[in-house]
Amino acid sequence: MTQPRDTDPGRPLRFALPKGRLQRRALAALRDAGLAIPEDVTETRKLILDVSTYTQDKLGCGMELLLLKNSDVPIYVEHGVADIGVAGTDSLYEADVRVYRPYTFPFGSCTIAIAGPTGLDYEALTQTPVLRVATKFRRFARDHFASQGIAAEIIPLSGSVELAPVLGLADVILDLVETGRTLREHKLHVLKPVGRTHIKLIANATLSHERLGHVERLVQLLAQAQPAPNPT
Amino acid sequence: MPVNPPTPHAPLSRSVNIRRAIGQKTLAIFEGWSYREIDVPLLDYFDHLRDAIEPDAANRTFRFVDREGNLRVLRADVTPAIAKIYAQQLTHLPLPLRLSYANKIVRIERSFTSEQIDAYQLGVEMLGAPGLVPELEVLLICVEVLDALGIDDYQIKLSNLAIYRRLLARSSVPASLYPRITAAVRDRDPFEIKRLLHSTGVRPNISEALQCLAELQGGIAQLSRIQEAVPRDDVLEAACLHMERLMGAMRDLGKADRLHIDMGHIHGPMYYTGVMFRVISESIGRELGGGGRYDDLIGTFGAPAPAVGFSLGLDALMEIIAPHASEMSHLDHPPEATIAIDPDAPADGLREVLARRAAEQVACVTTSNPRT
Repeated sequence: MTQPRDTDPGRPLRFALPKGRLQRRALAALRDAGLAIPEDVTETRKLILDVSTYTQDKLGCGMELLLLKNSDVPIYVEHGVADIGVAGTDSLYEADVRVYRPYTFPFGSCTIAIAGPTGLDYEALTQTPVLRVATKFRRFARDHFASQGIAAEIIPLSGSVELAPVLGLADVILDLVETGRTLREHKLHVLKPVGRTHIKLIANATLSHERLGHVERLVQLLAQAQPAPNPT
Repeated sequence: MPVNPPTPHAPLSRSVNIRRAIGQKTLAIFEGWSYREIDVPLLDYFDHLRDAIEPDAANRTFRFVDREGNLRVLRADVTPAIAKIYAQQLTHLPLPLRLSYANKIVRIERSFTSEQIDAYQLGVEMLGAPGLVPELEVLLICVEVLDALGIDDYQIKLSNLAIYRRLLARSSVPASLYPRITAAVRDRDPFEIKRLLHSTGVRPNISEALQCLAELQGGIAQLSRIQEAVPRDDVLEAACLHMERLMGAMRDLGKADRLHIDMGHIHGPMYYTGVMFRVISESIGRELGGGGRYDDLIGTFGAPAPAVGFSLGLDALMEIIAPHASEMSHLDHPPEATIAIDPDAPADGLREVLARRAAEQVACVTTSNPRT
């Protein structure tokens, strides 16, 4: 049995941030929204940072930043350990979580695509008995190929997916494509776009009415500063 | 040898006592509202239930073929089973019929406690009960149970599936998109709703109303915004007025403190047809239960009747109550109840045990000499 959550309405909002580039862009979005969190706030070994001083006036509540691995953010938020977080729809799909997604950031959108060696006939390849697909997105890949009626062997990898077809581990890859540069460097190209990811502000679905009010306020501030992208 | 999966609760110890105490207290409240307990069979014929439950729920059931070749299913949801029992065996009884239950269900749950395949549900169903008053009754029973169990961290989110379905029907989007729109509303994702409707030619006001359902906080003003977006729609007006009257009555009774209109709470069994509610708790980060109106379900078994009900999950109740369950500690064996029996003269000690039992006191037998 886990420890009950702190339900004190006055406690700071716990905000799970993924480490790396997404963290920098999310913090910049918070600054644009009027929360004057210093740029160097994350230059520490601490994984929990109290930034209440910078949020109290605008948001009406304090805030703690939890610095987490990208794929862990949805889990922390679904369990209610973090109240809100930033995650890509790819991570949300893989984690299979039930969380609210009230705001879509105008950055970080990527194509999810099947890619393979230049000159490969993808349509012919899908007729082979089993298509070998290397990917970081196991659940998405499984569901996509099942929905297309294509027999696929999913080869789960955690990074450097582009190497798999080059070295013969897989026929194709299913991965995020932002500019296509990494693909080109490995003599790969997009065979078929199969989806698009977006970066979302996510929130736990069992937050109290009062705490949801703080999240709503944050969404308003973010949307005023940077409206959500066009839904294409 | 295969090992049983871990259970969400301790299989022994005082947690069992607390579970029993919660069950007894809850059933006593159900009885106090004139509900009669019904026994629902553990096994049913899958073909009988197939039309009453949506495909996703059917996929989460445990099924097997019996010796006669029939596809059988383990009880996965009590409400359709009760609907079937009523339609096939109880139609001669006067309506409304108030039934309660305390039953284990077995199904695969998609949740962060994914090991959980069995759960215990405590609930009521009122059959043959149209209109506002039965809905108020089940809401009041739900509140009474939660208050009686000493639970102070809960909120009831109230919505109306009829409003959502009306907006979908007015949108004229292909039915194949319904599940994705439902998920987007449930996930409070206005961007995704807009994205899904973008290329379907849906009128902007309908799109706006659907996005309004996905608001984070909800509130009574949500109903006005829906009607402003889609004016002069009799079905929507009636459903919104119904919600306002429900909230108003609960407020008049002083029971609306923890009740919030939140029209995005549209998930749950799709046999619901109108008002529905979910009970959530922030401290444990999960739902305690839920319920609503299901006017078409019993008809799928051949005896149409409006109905409303709710259930609470015993495991979720346990999770929120157990850390503060000192008031239930009387169910633990007090030290003086342990009586050591001398194996060379067992009758002497056992007489004391029998005397305690005759006085309906707790007795725990132990041997004074371990060699026996």
